[in-house]
Amino acid sequence: MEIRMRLTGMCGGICRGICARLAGAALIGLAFLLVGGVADVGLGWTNQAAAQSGGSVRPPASANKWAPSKPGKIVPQGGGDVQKGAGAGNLPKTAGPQQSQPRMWRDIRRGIQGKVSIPNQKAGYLIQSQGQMWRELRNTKVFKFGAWLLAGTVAVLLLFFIYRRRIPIDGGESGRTMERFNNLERFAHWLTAVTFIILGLSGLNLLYGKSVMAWLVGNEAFAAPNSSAKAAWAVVTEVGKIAHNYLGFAFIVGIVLMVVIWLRQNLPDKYDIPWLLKGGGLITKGHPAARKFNFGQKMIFWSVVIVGGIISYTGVMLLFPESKSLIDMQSNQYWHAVLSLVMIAVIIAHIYIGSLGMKGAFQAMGSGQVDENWAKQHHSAWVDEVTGKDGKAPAGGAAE
Amino acid sequence: MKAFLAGCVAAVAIAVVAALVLGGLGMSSEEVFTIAQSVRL
Repeated sequence: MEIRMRLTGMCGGICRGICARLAGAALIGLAFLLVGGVADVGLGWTNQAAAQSGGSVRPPASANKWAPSKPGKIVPQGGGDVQKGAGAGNLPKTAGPQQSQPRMWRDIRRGIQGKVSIPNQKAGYLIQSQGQMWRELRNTKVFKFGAWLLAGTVAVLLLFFIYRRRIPIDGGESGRTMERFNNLERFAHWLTAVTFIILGLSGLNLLYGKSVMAWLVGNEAFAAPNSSAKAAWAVVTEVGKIAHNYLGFAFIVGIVLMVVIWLRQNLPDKYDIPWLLKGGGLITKGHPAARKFNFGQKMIFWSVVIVGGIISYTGVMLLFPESKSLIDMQSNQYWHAVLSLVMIAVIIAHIYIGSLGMKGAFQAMGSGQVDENWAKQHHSAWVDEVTGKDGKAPAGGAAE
Repeated sequence: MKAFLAGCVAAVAIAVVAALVLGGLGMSSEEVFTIAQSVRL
């Protein structure tokens, strides 16, 4: 009863919070509409008054003397000196119109580089227009792409789980196990996995933190860490940023280790196409044969190696901004973000099928031992190899 | 479980070594352009 009351209270609190936010947003929107409406009404009223009064609202004749003869140049129409113009008698000499310099500003806008006396020569750029494009891409298209991709991945996995449930071991567990991954293999996997999860979460916080976390934890908790003791999430962001910078190197070590250990076993073989045609046995019944890694696992491996490699390269480039131009940095940041989002989606699917989605799969990376029936079901060719049933000498991985 | 813990320890150790080396080269985390910039956007 008490729990129910608490739950009711929590739900009520959450609902009240959401309602309050929606109401706040609605009020702000209403206020904008009203202000905009009043401004429109005011402008309309002014125009209407001008139309009705005819020439009575014309500017004084002297005002035209300061109209520019051509764009970018302000001279009195009488042709006289600006400071001594007929209408300038009432103006202080220091308040005369200044020459605009459209050509200079156009060049600056196009990215002309000036000279600076500080070591950072990039400070010579007053305006870098591509920066606006990069910012727009990052804050709109990349933002939306990532949100849809991750939400879509989770939705597809949810639908798949509803359709397929947890894939069982045919015939149940045999009670006999065999070594699937040795200590070094599991070490390489977990080194890469742990660092990727931290890198992924801290990276997502950089992209979505201001929009999502500020809304969830509130602006006070999201504010700068030194401004308030309540700014707990700002500390998380700060620590996450530092961790993101340095854990990237551990991720690179993990990828290199995996390449050294698993490259040979992830090369294409005769089992790949049949496995692909049967959908890996995930959608239809019956399990296609596979060696140590099936086609799906090979795709994960090559995604980690190639996409993870590009993410690592761009990440390291971002750590050393002095060595690259601004546009290179923006390009690196763009690809780093986009490919990381793709990689996160791939790894979410990998985590699902390696834990919740398939019975007996997690043990492969957990203890390193898998049930014999599980191994025969998903990697029958590999079982034949390690037990010597394929007519060759056993390749390792003894049954217990 | 041991492999998982070893992976965690190795990750932290590599990160610390990277921080010390980069710190020794004179690069502080505040100089990281994009990440710091992204936080401020």
